[in-house]
Amino acid sequence: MEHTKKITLTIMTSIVTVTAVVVFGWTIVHALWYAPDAEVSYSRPHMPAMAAVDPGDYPERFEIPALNIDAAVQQAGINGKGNMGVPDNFTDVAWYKYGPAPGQTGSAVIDGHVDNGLGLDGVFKHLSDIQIGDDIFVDTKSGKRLHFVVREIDSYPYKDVAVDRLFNPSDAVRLNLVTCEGVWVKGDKTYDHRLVVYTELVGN
Amino acid sequence: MTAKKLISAATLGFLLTAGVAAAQTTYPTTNTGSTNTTGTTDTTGTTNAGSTTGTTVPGTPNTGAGGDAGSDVLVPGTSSVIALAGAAYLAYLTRRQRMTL
Repeated sequence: MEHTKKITLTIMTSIVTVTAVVVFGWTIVHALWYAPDAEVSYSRPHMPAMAAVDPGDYPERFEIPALNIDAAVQQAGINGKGNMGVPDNFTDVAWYKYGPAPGQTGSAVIDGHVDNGLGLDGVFKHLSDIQIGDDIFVDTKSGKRLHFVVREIDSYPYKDVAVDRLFNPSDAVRLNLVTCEGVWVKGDKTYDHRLVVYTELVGN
Repeated sequence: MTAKKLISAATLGFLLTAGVAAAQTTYPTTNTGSTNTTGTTDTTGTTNAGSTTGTTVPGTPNTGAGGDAGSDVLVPGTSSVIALAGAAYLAYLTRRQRMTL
C-alpha cells in the first residue's frame, strides 16, 4: 500500500514538473520571440495584388545610424483585422508589400515592434528619439542603397491615424515608418498612439 | 506531510499552472480600423480591393506587446517555481531510494 502511494506520488510530481517546464518554455518563447497579428491567407478573395515591384527592389536591410538600428526587412501583408501586418519577431522590421517599395513613387511603409511580451526593447523602442534631418538607409536585394531623410514626425491616437497619407501610393518617393507609443490600452491590448516618421528619398 | 497532502499540493500546483497559462494564451490584436480608397471608413478593417484606384489602405499595425508584461511574467515565474520544486522533490525521492537500497 505504502509502495503504491510512493509510485503515485512520484508519477504525479513528474507530470506536474514536466508540465511546468513546458509551460515555462512555451511562454518564454512566445513572449520573447513570437510576434502577434498573423497575416491572413493570400488566397482570400478580397486580398489585393502585390504591387508591381521587381524582386530586386525588395528591401533587405534597414538602417538608422543615429539610433543604432540595423535590421533585416521582412514582408508584411494585411492581418485578419484588416491592419498592416507586423514582423514575426521583435528584432526585424517589415515592409508593407501591397504598397510601393522603397525608392518607388509613393509611400513605402515599414513597421517594427516597440517592445516584446516581457516589456523588453523591440527594434523601434527608441524611434521616438529620431530627429528631423536624420538619415535612413535601405539596402535592396539587388544591392542598391537608398538614402532617405526624415522630414516630419507625428503621433496620432491609434484610432485616428492618417492612413491615407501614411499609405499614399502616389505622392513623392517616401518611406514612412510606424510603430506604437503611448499608454497601454488593456481592453484593446495595444498602445494608445502610433508614431509615424515621414521620410523622403534624397539619393541612391 | 502525508502522501495524500503531497498529491493534493501537486494537483493544486498543476491546476494553477494550467489555469494561469490558459488565461495568458491570447496575444494582442487590435482593430484600429481602416479607410478604403473610396473614402469611407470601414470599422471592421476590411480592405476594399474593388476601389477605383485599385490600391488598398490597411489599418495601422499593432506593434506593441509589452503592456501586459507584468502578467506575462507571472506565468513563467509560477511555472519555473513549480518546475524547480518538482525537480527537487524527485531528486530527493531518488536519493532516498538509493539510500534504502
